Amino acid sequence: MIDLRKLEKILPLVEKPGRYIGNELGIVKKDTDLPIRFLYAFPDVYEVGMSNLGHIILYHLTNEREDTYAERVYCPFRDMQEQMKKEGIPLYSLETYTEIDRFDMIGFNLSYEMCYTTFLKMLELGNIPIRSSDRDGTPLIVAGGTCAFNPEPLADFVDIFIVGEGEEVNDELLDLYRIHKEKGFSKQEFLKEAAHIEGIYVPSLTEVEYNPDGTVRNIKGEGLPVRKRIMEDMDHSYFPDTLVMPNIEIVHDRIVLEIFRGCTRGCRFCQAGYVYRPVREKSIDTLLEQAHKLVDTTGYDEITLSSLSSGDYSRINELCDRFIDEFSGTRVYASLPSLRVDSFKEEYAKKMQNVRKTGFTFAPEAGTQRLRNVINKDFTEEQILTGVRYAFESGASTLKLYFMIGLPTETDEDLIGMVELVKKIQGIYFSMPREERTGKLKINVSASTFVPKPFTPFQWVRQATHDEIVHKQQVLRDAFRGLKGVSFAYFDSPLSYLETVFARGDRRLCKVLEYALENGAQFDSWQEYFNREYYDDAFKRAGIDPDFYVFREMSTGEILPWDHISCGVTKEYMIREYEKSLREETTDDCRNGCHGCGFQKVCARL
Amino acid sequence: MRIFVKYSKKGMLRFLGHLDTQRLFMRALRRSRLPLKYSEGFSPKPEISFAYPLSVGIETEGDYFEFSTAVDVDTEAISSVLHLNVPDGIGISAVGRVADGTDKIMNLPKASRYTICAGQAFSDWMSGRFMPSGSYMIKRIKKGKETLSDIRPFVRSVEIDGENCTILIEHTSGGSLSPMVLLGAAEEDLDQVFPEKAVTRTDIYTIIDGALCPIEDIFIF
Repeated sequence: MIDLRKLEKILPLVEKPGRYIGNELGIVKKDTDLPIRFLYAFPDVYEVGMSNLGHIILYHLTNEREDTYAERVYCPFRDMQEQMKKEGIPLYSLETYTEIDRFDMIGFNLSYEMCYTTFLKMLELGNIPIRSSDRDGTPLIVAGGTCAFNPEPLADFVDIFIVGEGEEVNDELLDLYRIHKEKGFSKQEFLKEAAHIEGIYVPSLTEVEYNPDGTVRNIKGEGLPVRKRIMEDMDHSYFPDTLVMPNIEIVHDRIVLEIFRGCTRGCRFCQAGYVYRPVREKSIDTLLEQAHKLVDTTGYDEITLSSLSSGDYSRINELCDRFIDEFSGTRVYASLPSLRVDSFKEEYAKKMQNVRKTGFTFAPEAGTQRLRNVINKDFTEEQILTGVRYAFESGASTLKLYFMIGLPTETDEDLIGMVELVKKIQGIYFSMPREERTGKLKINVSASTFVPKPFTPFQWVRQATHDEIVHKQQVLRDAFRGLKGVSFAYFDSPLSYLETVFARGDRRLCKVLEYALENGAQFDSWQEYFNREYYDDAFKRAGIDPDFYVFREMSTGEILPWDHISCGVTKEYMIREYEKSLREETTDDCRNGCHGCGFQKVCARL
Repeated sequence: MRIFVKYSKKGMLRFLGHLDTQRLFMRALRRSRLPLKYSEGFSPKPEISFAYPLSVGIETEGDYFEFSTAVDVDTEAISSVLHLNVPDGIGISAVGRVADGTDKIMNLPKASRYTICAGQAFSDWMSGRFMPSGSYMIKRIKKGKETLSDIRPFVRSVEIDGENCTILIEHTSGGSLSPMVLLGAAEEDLDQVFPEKAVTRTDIYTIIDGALCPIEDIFIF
């Protein structure tokens, strides 16, 4: 345990000390001399990390084991890091204030490429060597989450990746660890056996060879290919009775209840839409039972029903009705975000109004039908406008519209199409009788830069260059100028550029991350801390040209750095989808007919 | 029914700010499933208010908040259900009703008692330097402006028992004094930093029939 007197001395000196004190309601208390001590780590500040329900569920699940005590840790912000350094306090767990290097395993949740340096920073703050080869015994560094689908840029740092859903794999891994610990732990022997558990990837037991042009020639080693793990039955998968309740306000300070996993739509830019296949729903009874349990034990008055596309829940009307019935008069509010504009029916608009009046968010992503066909966001302009009309008629006057720029095949015409679409939406509002309009029209248009991600049909496509993006932003700025009630937000591209580097990168980038960390990089997704120069210098020192990963059209014939990992959707299917996109052909929602993505057998079982 | 709660907040939770403490009790009340009375208006909230804010880093053995229930509830039942719904470090010391016509809880505090344990030097400074002076001017920043203000009048009495200093600080319409500010003044005057300083608010006082007494004294059990 760290010296608490030192901690108490520095807490008054930092912002939001509540981040660092633990002692929340609902934490698990156990003996610290249990055979296995596990630490769930989230590479961002407390308020962001605690908003991620996934690791909290796993925390409670792991604590169901009698032989294991699981605790939590988040990344201290810079002011706290400085004070800790001054006092010689290493990074510690929130449950028992134990130094993180005292744990058997640390499991990191990696959901975004730009958290990689923060992940390394946490090891450094815990006095743990960042390279796997510099660590002899424990703690073992485990990582899971969306980023585990292309784990290569972290291959030198992480001992074990968990690909897919962790509920079962974590247990199998801990069982194996227990056996090895009892017979005398040898990291090499343990890793060799672990590599054969389905869903587990041990990068140190694999080797990558490269072609002279820099592309991958060959990946071989223990336990390949790695197949992602899934939970087939969502109604019987583990769900805790209570959650850890934060003592300070967190980003999503409400109950977030997942209604289904996966998505049937197949938008071609969307990684989540492919890696979380197949669609698995929770039944309405299960959802209501879980909602009641959480309302009772947390005291939250707001439930967000979450998924990738909520309107696609098979019995969405019944779900809405039953939630409204069950919770009417209890002052508990349910909200349904992530509605696709074409699934946004009048009924929901009315129901949502009963529940709580909010602004609406739609994501047309592209401005013309042609480009929407390319990306397979296949709703029509008429469907968008109908959805928007419902939203306005239900009393909303604020709309958020999400678009992407830099999409494959995009031209200036598509950008102008975006502006035309916004004008039509504006027109709908002003065509309504004045007395039916509520409030003042506010359309917040936001255009983010397209990032090609592994395990999407666009994984081979290059990202738009800086000059191209600047031009596109200029075109849009000019065209949006003077539009009443419309604000246009766009983002600087260096972050999207780096996101692409690490999303599509290989293990040669490990050196870059190491140098970037040395230069001071951490919290890169926090705009005030992001510094492009940390990375520019790191690339130079590592002798790596990042453009190779970003601006190169990859060939469908080449071996991709993540080809030894399988998300269940076949590469052939991805190629087919990519080729269809170039022909501007759409692929229908797979509930209307199977397209053979690779999950046919699983879907048939479900 | 108006309910007053006296609570303690100790250990690591003393680093929780006033707003977070309010939210913590709001949630505890909701979890307790008591028949809370809600505010009127567009987004109704349970009516809950606190007696007097406490600076971050100070422990308390006697802070108060009030809330209302829509129907009468046994105060002992409230106490036991609240106890189950607060994290370790928070204690529910007393729950009581108050007489009709009792002023709002935020208008009650007239003084707070604190125990400060910061070493012999501080105790000596309090008895030898601070208390005997008629006024004690320090620089304070108010609304972004630096002003000189006299902090001596806020300290009504001091009892010293070795290194433990018990002081009674008044809350007036002109404001109050945080014991942290008093400690800072001593450190500046003595040109030294007290390495260990523990501050605890032991109770908040109101005036009943002209006499100062803990707010708890108006509870009806």
